[in-house]
Amino acid sequence: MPNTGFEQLKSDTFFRKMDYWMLVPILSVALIGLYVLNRVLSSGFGDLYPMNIYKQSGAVLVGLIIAIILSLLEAPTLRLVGWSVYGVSLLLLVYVMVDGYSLSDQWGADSWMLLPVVGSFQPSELAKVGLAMVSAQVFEAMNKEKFNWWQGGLLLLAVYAPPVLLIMRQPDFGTTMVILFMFVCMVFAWGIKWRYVLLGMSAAVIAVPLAWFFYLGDFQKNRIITFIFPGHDPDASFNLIQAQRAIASGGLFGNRSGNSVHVPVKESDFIYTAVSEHMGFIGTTALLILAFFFLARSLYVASSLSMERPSAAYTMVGLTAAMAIHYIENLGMCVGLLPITGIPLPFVSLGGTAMIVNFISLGVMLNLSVERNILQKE
Amino acid sequence: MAQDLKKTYYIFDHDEAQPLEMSEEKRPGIKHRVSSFLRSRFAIMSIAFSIAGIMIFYRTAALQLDPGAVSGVSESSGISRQQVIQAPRGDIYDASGVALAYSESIPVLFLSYAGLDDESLNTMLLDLALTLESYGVEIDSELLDYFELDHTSCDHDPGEGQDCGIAVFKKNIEEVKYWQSNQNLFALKEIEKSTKSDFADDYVKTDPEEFYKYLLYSKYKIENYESDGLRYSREDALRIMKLRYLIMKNNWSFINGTPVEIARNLPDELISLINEQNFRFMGTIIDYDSQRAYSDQVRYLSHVIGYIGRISSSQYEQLRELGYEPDAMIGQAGVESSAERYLSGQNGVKPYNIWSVSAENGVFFPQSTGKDAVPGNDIQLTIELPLQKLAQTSLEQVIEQIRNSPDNKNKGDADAGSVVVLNAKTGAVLAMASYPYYDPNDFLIQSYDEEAAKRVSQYLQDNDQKPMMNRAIMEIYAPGSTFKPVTAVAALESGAITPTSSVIRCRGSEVIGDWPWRCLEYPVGGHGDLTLTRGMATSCNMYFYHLGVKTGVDNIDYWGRKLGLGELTGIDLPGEVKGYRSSRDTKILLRSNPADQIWFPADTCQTAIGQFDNSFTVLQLARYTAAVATGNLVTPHVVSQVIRHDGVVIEYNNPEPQPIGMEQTTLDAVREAMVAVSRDNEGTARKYFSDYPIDVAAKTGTAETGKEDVSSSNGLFICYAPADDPEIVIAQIIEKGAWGSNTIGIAKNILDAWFGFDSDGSPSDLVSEPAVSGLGSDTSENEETEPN
Repeated sequence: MPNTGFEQLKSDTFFRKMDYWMLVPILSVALIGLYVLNRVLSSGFGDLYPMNIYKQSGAVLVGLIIAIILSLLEAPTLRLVGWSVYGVSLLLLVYVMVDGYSLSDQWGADSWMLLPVVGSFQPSELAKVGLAMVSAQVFEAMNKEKFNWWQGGLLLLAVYAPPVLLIMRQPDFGTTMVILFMFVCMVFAWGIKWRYVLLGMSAAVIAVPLAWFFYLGDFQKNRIITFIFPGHDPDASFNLIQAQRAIASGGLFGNRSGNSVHVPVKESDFIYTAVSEHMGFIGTTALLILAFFFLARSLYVASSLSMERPSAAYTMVGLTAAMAIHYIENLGMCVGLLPITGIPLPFVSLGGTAMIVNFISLGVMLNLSVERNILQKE
Repeated sequence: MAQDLKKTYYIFDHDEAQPLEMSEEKRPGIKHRVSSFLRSRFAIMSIAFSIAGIMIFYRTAALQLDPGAVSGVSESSGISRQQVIQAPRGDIYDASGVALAYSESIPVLFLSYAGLDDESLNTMLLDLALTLESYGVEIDSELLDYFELDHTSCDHDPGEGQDCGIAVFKKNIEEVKYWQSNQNLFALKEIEKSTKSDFADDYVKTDPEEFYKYLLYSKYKIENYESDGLRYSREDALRIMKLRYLIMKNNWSFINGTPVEIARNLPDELISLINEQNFRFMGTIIDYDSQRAYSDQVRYLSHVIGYIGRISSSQYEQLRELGYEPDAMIGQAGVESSAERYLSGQNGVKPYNIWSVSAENGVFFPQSTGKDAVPGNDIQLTIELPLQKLAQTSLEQVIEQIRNSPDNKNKGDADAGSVVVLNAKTGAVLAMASYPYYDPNDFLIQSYDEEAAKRVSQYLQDNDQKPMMNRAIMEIYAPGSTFKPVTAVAALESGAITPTSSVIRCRGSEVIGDWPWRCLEYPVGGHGDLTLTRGMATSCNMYFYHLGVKTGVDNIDYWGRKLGLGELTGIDLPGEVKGYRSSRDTKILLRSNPADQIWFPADTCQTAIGQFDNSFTVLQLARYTAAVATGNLVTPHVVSQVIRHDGVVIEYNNPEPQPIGMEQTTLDAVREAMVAVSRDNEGTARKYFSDYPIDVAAKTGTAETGKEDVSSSNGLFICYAPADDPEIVIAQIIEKGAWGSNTIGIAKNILDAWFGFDSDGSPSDLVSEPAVSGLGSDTSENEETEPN
C-alpha cells in the first residue's frame, strides 16, 4: 500500500495530489452563491444584514478549512471519522426528537435544533454523510464475500434503519427521499443484478400509491397536488408560480429593472430563482455546468477507485448521489419539473451549518480523490 | 491483494457481461470503448444525472428566453402588463465639466388594477395608507381640498381622533356643487330647490355629513348600510376615501391597466417592504421616474440653461410624431429647449407584474421583451462657469451702484442689463448674463413648494422687468457710440477717408446734412482737427456726422450687414431677435406714412453715431466687435459638444468663422482708434484702462432712448483684448445706466479674471472701486437727441 495522508504530505507535495477538477467547480458555485445571497439579503432583512452574509461567508471559509483537513486524513482515520459522524448524527436525531426547542411552528417540521453560535441545525444533514461512509464498508465487506447477501442485507438494514426511522418520524420527507436515493445508487454501483433493478423499479411504481394513502401527510400531499395541478391551491401554488416568474424575469443577463419578484424563502430553498434574477441565463448556465461537471467528475473518480478501493468508490457514489439528488430536486422544483420539498441548494443556499456539512462531504470526497490520484501515479 | 480485488470486482460488477467484454477486448476500437463505457455503472449514473441537468437547463433557459412558450405560467393568477420607462434626460455641463443640470431617479408608488372587489380593495388601501403614513409618506389627494373631517371640536388630540371628526367642506358651497357635479368625478345631479338630498340618491349633497355617508355607503362601499355596526373608524374611512378618490380620478385608464400614481419619494425600507409583500398590497408597483435637477449654480446662467416644463398643447401637436407623450416634460427655454432633441432620450417599455386575486390570463413579459430606455445625450456648454458667475454678479452689483449714485443725467433708475463674453476667434460664448433673472429650480419644485410657485408666477407675469427674457438675444437696443467703429470701417473701406488722411475739423457748432449740430464737449470752438483715432477716443459726434455724410448711408448699411448687425447671429438658443439696421429700406419698413419714409441727410448723421433706427441685440454687438477684432464673422454658440450617454462625443459644434473681406489697413486703423479709447488722455475708457497691463480695444456708448425726460439713457460698452491678438470680446448694456462708461467695471472684472490680473484683490472690490469713481464724472461722450 502506498503512503497516504500525512505521510504522503511529507514525501510529496500534497496539494499536487488534490483533485482540482472537483474543488474548483464547487468553490466557484459557492462564490456565485455568496454574490447572489448578498444581493438577496441586502434588502428586506433589516438589521440582520449584513451580519447574515458575513456569517455565510464565514461558513464557507470554515467549511473549506474543514474540507482540507479532512482530505489530509489517512484511510483508517477516515473510517473512524465515518463511524463518529454516524454515531453523533444518531444521537442528535434522538435529541431533536425530545428537545424542548422546536421550530415546527415556524417551519412546519420538527427537524431542527438550536446550537450556540452556529444557530439552527438539521442533524439529518449530517446523518447522510455518516450513512454513506459507514454503509460503504458493509458493501465492501459483501464485495469481499465476508457476508452473503442476506447477512449483508441485515447489516445494511441495521445501519440504515435507526437514522431513517428517526428522520421519518420528524417527519422529513425530503431527507428520507435523499437517503433512499443514496442507498439505491450505492446498491446500483455495488453491482446489483439488472433483474433486481427492474424488480425494484416495479416495486416503486406500486409503492407510490401505497405511500400516498398510508405514509404521506396532508401537507406533503398538498405539495404534490399543487405540483401536478398548479392553481389548485392558490397558497401553495404561489411559491411555484412566483419561482417561475422570478426565473423568467432574469432574461439573458439578469433582471435590471429593480423590481424583484417576491418568492418565499428566496434566500434558501428558492435561491436558484435569485441566481436567475440577478445573473440571468449566463449565471444559471454557469451554475449548472459547474455543479453537474462536479458530479460527473466525482463519479469518474469513483469509477477509477472501484478496482483498488471499493469502499472508497461506494462512499464516493453515496456522497455524490446525495449531492446530486439535492441539486436535481432543488433545481427541478424551482423550474417546476419536480414537486416542492424543503431541500436547499448545496453550497449556495443560506444556512451556515448546511454549508459546513456539505463541505465535510466535500472533504471526504477530496480525501478519496487524493487517494485515487496517488494510486494512479503508481 | 490488488489482484484479488480486481477479480472480486469483476465478479460482482460485471458478472453477466463478463464473457462479452472478454471477447470484445480482442477487438479494441471506438465501438469497444463506447460500449465498455456504457457498461460501467458509474457512467450510467453520470449519464442519468446529466440528463436531469440538461432538462433543468432547458427548462430554465425556456423560462428566461421565451417564457411565453411555457405553459403554466400564463395560467397564473398574477397579472403582467407593460409600462413605460422614462428615459433620463441628458446632463448639461459647463466648459470645464461642472454639472449644471442632471437627472435624478425618484421612486414612485403606483397602483394598478388587480381585479379586487370593493371590500378587499378598501381593506388593502387602508393597509397601504397606514403603511405609507408609518413611513411618513404623504398621499396628496385632491379630495382633502374639498372635504375633510374636522377635529377642532373634539376633546382630545387630533392625532388620536377616531370617531368624533365632523364632516366639513373646505370650499364655498358653489365650488363644492360644481365639483360634485363634475361628470368625470361624482357626476351628481344638480338638486331642485325644494327637495333635500340624502346619501342614497344621486343628487348633489350640500350637507357634508350626507356627502360623507354617500362616499361611505354608496360611492366607495366602504361600509354596508344594512349591516349592524361599522368596520372602520371615521378616520380610517377617510384614509380609504383619499385613495379611492385618486383612483376614481383616473378610473378609465386605471381599469385599462395604466397604473395610477399614489406617492413619490418613498424611503428605501418602504420600497423593499412593498416589493417583498406585493401579495399583501395587491396591484402596487414601485417604479423609478427620472426627474430633472439643477445645481445651485444654475441661477447664474438661467437664461442659457432655460428650464423644463409640461409640454403645451401646441408643442404636443408638433412633437407627437417624435413619440412625445401628452404629459411629457420638455425644454421650454435656453439650451433645454434648443437642444431638446439631443437631451431627451427614448422611453423604454418594461413589463411589470402584480399579484392579483383573479385568474385572469396575464401575458408574462420577460425582461427580453421590454425595451430599455435610451438615456438622452449630454450637452457640454462653452460657458465658463466662473466667468459666467462673475459676469452675472458684477452686472448685478454695477446696476446697484448706478442706482445708488444718481446725478443730473443719471436718474438712479438702472434696473436691467446684459453682458456677453465671446471667444474672439471661435465665437464660443464664454459668458452670457442677463438681469433680472429667474431661478430654474423654482420651475422644478413649484408643484410642491408654494414659495417657488409664487416666484414662478411672478417671473411669468412681470411685464415690467421681464425676468424671463434673455436680454442678450431677445431685446434690441440702440447701440449709440458703440456703433462708431462700423461707421469707421465703412468710411475706410469705401475710401471716404484713409488711415493716413482721416482729419476732419470739429467746429463745435455746425450745419451738417442740412441740420444744425453742436459738439457736446466743446460747443464753442470745438475739438479742432481730429484724426479718426482722436475722433474715436473722444467719441466726438461732429467728427462722425461728417464721416457719415462723407461715407453715405448705403455704405454704412452695407458694412453694418457684413459685420452681422441687424442679422440673426444663428446662436443655438431659442428666441433670438433680428433687430434693425438704420437704412433707407428700414425707414420705409418701419413707417407707414409716405411722408415719413423719405430719407434725409440728417438721418445719415444720426445713423453714423448709432442712433435713428439702429437697434441690435447685445450678442450682435459682441459678434461685430469680434469681427472688427479678427476680420472674421463668427457664429456665436453655447453648445460645444454633444456626448452620448456612454461617453462618445457624437457632435462637435465648431462653426467655421467666415472672412468678411476687410482690408488689413482698415482693421489696423480701427484697432488703433479703439485702443486710443482706453489709452489716450482723452479716451472715454481711460479711467479703467490707461495703465492696464495689456492693450484693450474698446468703445463706450450712451444710447438715447427718446424717453430722456423720464428715464436715463442706456449705457453700453464693447471691447476686445488683447488688442494685438484678440482672445475675448465683451459687449454689455445696462438699461438706464446713464453713461456707457458707468458699465465698464463689469468688463474690467471679466478681463481681470480672464487674464489673471487680480492686483485689486477680490472680485467685488474690483467692481466697486472703479465703477463708483467713474460714475457721472465722464462727460466727454454725449449724444444729441434725435432731431425729429
